[in-house]
Formats: sequence, structure tokens, C-alpha cells
Amino acid sequence: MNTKRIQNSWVIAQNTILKELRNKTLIGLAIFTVIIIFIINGSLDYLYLKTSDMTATGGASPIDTFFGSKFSVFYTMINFWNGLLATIIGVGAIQSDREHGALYQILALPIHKLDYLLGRVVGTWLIVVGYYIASMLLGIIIFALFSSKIELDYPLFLSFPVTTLAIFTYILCAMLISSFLNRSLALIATMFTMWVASIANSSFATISISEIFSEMGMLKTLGIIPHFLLPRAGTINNIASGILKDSLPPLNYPLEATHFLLSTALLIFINYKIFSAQEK
Amino acid sequence: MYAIEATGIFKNYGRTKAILGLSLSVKKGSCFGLIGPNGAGKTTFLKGLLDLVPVDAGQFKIFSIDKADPISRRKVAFLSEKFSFYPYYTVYNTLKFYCNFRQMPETDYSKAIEAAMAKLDITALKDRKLNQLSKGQLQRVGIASLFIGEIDLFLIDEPFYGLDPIGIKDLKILLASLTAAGKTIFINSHILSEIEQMCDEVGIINNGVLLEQISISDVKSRGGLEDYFYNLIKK
Repeated sequence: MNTKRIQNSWVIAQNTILKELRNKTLIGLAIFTVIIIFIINGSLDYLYLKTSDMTATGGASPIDTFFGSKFSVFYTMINFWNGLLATIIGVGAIQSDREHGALYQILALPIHKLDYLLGRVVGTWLIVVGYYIASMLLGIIIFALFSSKIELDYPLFLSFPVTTLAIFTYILCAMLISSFLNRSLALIATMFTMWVASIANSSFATISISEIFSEMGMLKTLGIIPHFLLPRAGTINNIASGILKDSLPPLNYPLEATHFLLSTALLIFINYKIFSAQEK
Repeated sequence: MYAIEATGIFKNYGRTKAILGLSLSVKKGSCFGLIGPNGAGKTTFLKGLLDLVPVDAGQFKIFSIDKADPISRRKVAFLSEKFSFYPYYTVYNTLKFYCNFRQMPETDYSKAIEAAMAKLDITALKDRKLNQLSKGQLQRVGIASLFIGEIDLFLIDEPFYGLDPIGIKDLKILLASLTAAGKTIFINSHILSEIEQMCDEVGIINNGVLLEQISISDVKSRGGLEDYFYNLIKK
């Protein structure tokens, strides 16, 4: 890819960011996130208080036993929101250009379709990652204000880049599905696909290939397809969560990394081929 | 040398045959009008040429480069029938977006935008958002986008759409100046009087078939474009 092509992609990425900053759904979600952070903080404080008799006798709080820490609950929630946000923006990234009638104008310019597509993916990824950082910082500040403890340690910094890979996967899947369906249906279909894929990722992560393919049923087949064909967002989220809890899941990491790279490349390729073959 | 070469183009939309084996060529430096009734395949031809829709068979070349290569569009400007862009973009930002894809240094953007706005008399609208413009003003912004960068081929779909009589006259003057400067213009239209006045050559298309490619001087010697077109279509 030459410099001009990278520049073209970057212009599209910037345009995506500008476009999404005006997205009312994004603004609404940001406000909702603030409310959610306060709700989680308040609810967990209440639960800690309710279970204080257990901790007073030297035992661990059921919240800590189940989730690891109060911050882990928040982290799980934020990850869920970011998956949702990546899906919402992902399904609309190209659809909105169609709706505005801008797609013709842009693709009539000397830009390669792949560069346009990558620009939209990178722009969407940057905005979701930006939102992710902002919501994390906000959560840390609110938690610090209420508990006088700053949850800013190195596992958080390690898990962050891992989570952004899952965000990338959500965006690519959302874009692919939005090639066939309208926005609302694409949103539902992407969420369903990612949900099925996450369950499959968690179920198949630590078992051997022969075990995966033994006793095949319909549900198992439904899970196997996204598990092998799509980048494993569920596994990525489990790794990120494991980093935070200091208990990494037992996986074949080189194999998982190879699978991620190959399946991501395949997903980009399929997105590109379908986009090129479509009426704009 | 040809600015546009289309050879054996076929395009179906499902069972509907939009273009049937269309071949035509447009000489560099000429003004060419593709005319035909509604649904004749004019816009599909233009979209195929710009690689906006995949064609089923045939080959398009722009300045001898296959249309699949984006470099073929390096000196091409396109205006669709109804210019449309992000409603929250200002006129200035819209034109700036175009600058990014033209061969020009960033330091020249402002100058290029000011010049394009001045040509279309929309400098006063510079900071207005597109959703605050009338249909005619919006179309002028679209036309201004044609003048960003060094363009050799102008592809215009129904250029007079939404323009008032002043706008139409302004556009005709601008297009005439482009032809005089040796630029190639390809216009899709069904306003025959304007085509007859501006173009050197026309292609008459109906039901996806190119019925004839003929020079305007020949058409004039046969009684004018309107009658010629009518008789050909009704034949």
C-alpha cells in the first residue's frame, strides 16, 4: 500500500470519527454509561454493606469471590457496552453513507474500495476505543471518589489493548452483516452472531479439536462455524478479563494468535469482496 | 486518443436488462451527450464507468486505463443527478473533502476551494451547512466540487437538475469554458435543447441499447436533435 492510499484511508477514518461524533446514539450511550457507572458503584456498595457480616468474620465478600473485585464488575459492564457500541457504529458506518447519498460521491473519487473500507473500519475502531478509554477513566474517577482507591494498575493497561482486538472483531462482523440487512436487523443479527460465537469460544476454548467435533448436534454445529471462521472475540475478552484477575485461561496462545490474524484477514477480504460486488 | 471507451457492456438488475452490449467511445477534448428516455440505461452506464456498479460483461476504459484501477479516476470529476453529501458538513468542508483526493498539496486547498466557490458564486455560503441550503444551492456546491483539482474528464448526470435559469446559464458558460480549454465532458441528460447547444456528439440510448452515436452537426443537418431523437426512439 503506497503513501497516497494510506492517506486516502486516513481521510476516510477521520471522516468516520467526525460523522460518529454527531451520532445521537453515541451521545445517548455516553450519557447512559455515566448513569450505569453510578448505578454499578451504588449497587455494589450496597451489596458490600449487606454482606459485611461475612467479611467481618474473615471471609471474602461473595462479590469478590464471584467477580474478583468491584472494579471487575464495572469492567465487564464496560466491555459489554463497548461491544454494543462497536456493533451499532459498525452496522451504520457504510449504511449512513448510502443514506446520505455520499457513497457515490466518495467512490467516484480516485480511492480504492479497500482503502475506503479500511478507513471506515479504522475510524470506527478509533472512536469506540476512544469511548472505551473515556468510560474507563470516568469509572476509575468515580470509584476513586467513593472508595478512596485508584484502580489504575498495570493489569488494566495490559488488558486494554487485548480488549481493543475484540472491538475490531465486532466492527468487522457488523459491517459484513450490514451488507445484507438494514440497520436494525443487522444490529440484532450481529449481536446474536457475536453472542453465539462468544458462547462457542468459551465452551471450545480449552478442549481438544477431536472433542469439539465429537457428538455433533445442531447447537454444536451452530457454534463451531463462528468459532472457527470468525476471530474469537469471546476468547479475547476472556484473556483480557484473565489479565485483570491475574488468572489467564489455559490456552494455546500462539495458535489463538495465528487464528486471530488469519480469521481477521479472511473477514476483511470477505467484506471487501462483498462490498465490491454490490450496487452502491 | 479516447477519454472513454466502453466495449460490449452488459448489465442486468435481476431479470431486468439495463444495458445490452453497449459500445461507445468519447474523444478526448469533446463534449459528449448521452441521451435517452427515462430508464434507458444512462445512469447505469455512468455508474458502471465509475465502477460504482459491477457490470456483467464488457470493458470500460478511462484514458486507456481499466476502470477497475482507481488511478483511472485521478483526473475525473463526477456529479450525480442530485448532489448529496453529509448534511452537517459546511460548504467549505465538503469541498475540502474533495481536495484530499486530488493531486494537490495541502497548502493549496484553501486557494482551490475559494476559486471553485467563486466560479459558482457560492462564496457567501462558505460556512453554511449543506442541510441549510436550497436544492439549487446544493447543486451548485456539487458543481463546485467538479472544479477541485486538475480535472480532464467531467462526468455529469443531469446537470441542470434543480438549477434556476441563472444557474443553468452559469453552468452552460462554465461547461463551454471547459470545452474551450480542451477538457472532455460527458453529459447524461434528456434536456435535448441544452445538449444540442453544448455537445459535439451524442449517443442515443433506449432500453439499454445504443441506437446511434452521431455528431451534432449531422443531427442539425437532419432537422435538429429533438425530431431526430423522437423519430429514432419511436421507430
